[in-house]
Amino acid sequence: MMSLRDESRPFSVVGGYLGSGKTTLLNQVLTAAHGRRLALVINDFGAVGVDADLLDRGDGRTLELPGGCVCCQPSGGIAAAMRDVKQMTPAADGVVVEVSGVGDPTGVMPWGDHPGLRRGVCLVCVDTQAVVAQLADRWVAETVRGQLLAADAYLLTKTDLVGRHRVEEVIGLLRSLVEDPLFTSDRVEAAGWIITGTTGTASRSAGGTSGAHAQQHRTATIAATGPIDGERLASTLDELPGVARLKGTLRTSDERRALVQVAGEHRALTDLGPWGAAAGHGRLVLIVDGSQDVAGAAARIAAWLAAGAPEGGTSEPVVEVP
Amino acid sequence: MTEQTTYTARLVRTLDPARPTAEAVLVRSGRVRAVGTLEELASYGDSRLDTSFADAVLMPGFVEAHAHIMSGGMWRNVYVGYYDRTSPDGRLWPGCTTLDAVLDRLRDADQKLDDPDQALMAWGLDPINFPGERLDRRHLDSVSSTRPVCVAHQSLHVMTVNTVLLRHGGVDGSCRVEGVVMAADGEPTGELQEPPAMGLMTSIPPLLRFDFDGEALWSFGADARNQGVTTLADLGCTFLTDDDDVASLRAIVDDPQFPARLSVFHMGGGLAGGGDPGAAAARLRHLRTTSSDKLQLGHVKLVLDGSIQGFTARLMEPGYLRGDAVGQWLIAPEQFRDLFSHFHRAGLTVHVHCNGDESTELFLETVEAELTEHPRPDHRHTVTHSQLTTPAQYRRMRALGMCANIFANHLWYWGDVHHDLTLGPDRAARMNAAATALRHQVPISLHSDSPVTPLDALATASYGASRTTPGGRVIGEHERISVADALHCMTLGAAFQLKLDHVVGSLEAGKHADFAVLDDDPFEVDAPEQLRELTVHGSVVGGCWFPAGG
Repeated sequence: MMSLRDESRPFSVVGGYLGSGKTTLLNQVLTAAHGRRLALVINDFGAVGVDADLLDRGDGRTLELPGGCVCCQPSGGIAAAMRDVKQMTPAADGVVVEVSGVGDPTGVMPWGDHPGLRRGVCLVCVDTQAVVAQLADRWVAETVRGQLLAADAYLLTKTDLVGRHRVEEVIGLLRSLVEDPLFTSDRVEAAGWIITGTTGTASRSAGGTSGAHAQQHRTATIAATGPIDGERLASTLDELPGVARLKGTLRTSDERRALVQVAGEHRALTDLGPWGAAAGHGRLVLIVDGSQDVAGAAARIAAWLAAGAPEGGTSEPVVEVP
Repeated sequence: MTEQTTYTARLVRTLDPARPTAEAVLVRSGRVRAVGTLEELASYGDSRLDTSFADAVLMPGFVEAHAHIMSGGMWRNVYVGYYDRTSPDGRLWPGCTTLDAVLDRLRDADQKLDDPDQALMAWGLDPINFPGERLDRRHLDSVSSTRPVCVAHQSLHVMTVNTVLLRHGGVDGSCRVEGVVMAADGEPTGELQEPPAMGLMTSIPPLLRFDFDGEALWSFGADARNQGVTTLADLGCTFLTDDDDVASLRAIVDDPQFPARLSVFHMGGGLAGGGDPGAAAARLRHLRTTSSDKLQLGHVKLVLDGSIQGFTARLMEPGYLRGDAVGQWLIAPEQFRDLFSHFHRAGLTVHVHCNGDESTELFLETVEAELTEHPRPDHRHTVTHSQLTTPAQYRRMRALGMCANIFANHLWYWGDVHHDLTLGPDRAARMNAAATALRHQVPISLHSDSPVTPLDALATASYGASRTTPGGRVIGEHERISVADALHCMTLGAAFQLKLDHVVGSLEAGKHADFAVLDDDPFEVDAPEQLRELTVHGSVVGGCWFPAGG
């Protein structure tokens, strides 16, 4: 829960593949915003947009983004919209950005670290009718998978159109991607998360279609103190423990920027290009469930990292457990 | 009787295989009436003899089928790129090959700014050229410790700013925004990577403008004039939906002083653009009927993926050289099919940005499905960039009646990067496969995508013919095309894709009298690289002479 004296405003992101219910959810957000002035940055691509009546009724203000990708465009797009958001007087009580149907919310969330804002919720809409097929689709499987991995929380949509079995299947699918996913099929609840920028009040009802994290998460950081051998790390990726989340970049011995991502049993190592001028050798941020041994997991990750030192080199990672 | 002019030249290259060379061109009312010997031209009655080009070689004016009006606007900022570049006013900006040269250029520009608070904006820096050295805020503080200084990198995904500008943006060691690079001392280096970090600098104007920009348009035309380019395409404009903007566009391009013809494509989706495709298609059908001799409206651009060097182009197996990136769609496939279908059924020509082969694949599948339902003769749908289009895809394009506009300039500017980092030697050798396209009889052209690379048709032809990098490495010798084919690409080839080959692209009776005026014969160079050494004296557009600036 945000403290009453916290003057930063939540910055939330709504993602999800084409047709997953983002616009319907945004209309719910506007309905439920009541007196709050929300800056809603919408992706006006298709013919169907946010309900104009709802926009007129509230004090809310919307900024239309030209269609397409908000996350990778150097200027125009979200950059132009965020410029406008910052110039609003009085300032908006919160910012909600809708990512395009093929957009990856990951690239948008860092805007939430701008002065005066704080990262709210990254919510991804999951079309229970279509998501199973989308994850096997020839063209968009990785796009949809990337969106699901980027989310803090999920809204399961069209649950009234599918059987109980399908809903269970989708929940199982989310669980196979991320540990203890936070999801709801209640649009009102999801809108509340977006408006407040927090899921702190959500409660878990195991086995149901509305659930929350059972406990607070615990975190640790593991900072590298020397370069690592990218190929060696790639070959030992499976040795990383399955944890709720592990993410960060590492500097390789050939001066590349390697992105490490673990979400549940999904592990990935991605080359992000040259390391550049940044100092240090990178670090990983670990998140585990409160019931798990964070120090133990961090130590295993540190050992994995240490074994990734180049031939003949050593580097003892520094582990910090708050 | 209407006045006629006979232009003599050392040589006229017509690009028309039926009459490939001539002594002179006879022009009436802005159109070619005839080409031939002086004796032949005498049959057409009296004419004024113009010998201004008697020592020059005349070609049909070049056609650039993929550039952007905004490239004219880049020159409001200071160029600090590694390679020589000529601004539209004809000034040569020597490449800054050291960081000291970059800083000298900035200091020079700083002295020329009167307003002490005005931001100094620069563009074109490519850190890949300065291994082991990195521009940071201290360098820029040495340029000015009072005025904001911002250097945009070539990729436009990174910028470096000075301490004053960081302070304006409220950025210090406590900033947590991803992409704000911190030094060992915990303070920002001044480098800001990707939009969220760059977006902290709200006190400076954005480098690229997407709205109507008349000043940029005039510069764009001047740039073309300097290169002998007489027909341009702006590939992706978002303001054709606005009547006032269209009127402003028309007023400038139809101005007799504007030195080029221009085809403005509607950005139908991806990156920007949007709205109801049915309404957009109907409007474009209408706008098409309002085209003039100089301004063509009615074509559509769609963007499917990102860039290869940004690892956002959609690649099929075997993908990128390293990592597991597969690229990024800018339009969902379903949405793409819907958009394309609307524009195709409205009878419009669609050029689709496909850098990766998977984007090409989706485009081809869509065209095939759409043509099956709605057959259409002579659509000239074009894969633009077409960087990784495979031989099988070219065969299919031939069968579907499609064209390719190939990004030859990438071979020179990023060939080494693709060879070493993004694709590896084999795939790099196959990229921008102009020879394969010609082997499969796909109509092609080559392009600059200015401002991404400079607008310079002869240079673009040279890159397609030589496929060398600045270091001298040849990227795929078997994909080289002949100089004659490359020059065809930059004239009739490009005109065909714009559906303007009946009026420009060659010097034939009845076509516009559009010439590139050169100091020598590009068909007779000893090596393709020499195309870049030729001097362009200027352009003739509809019989009007526009000498190159400078």
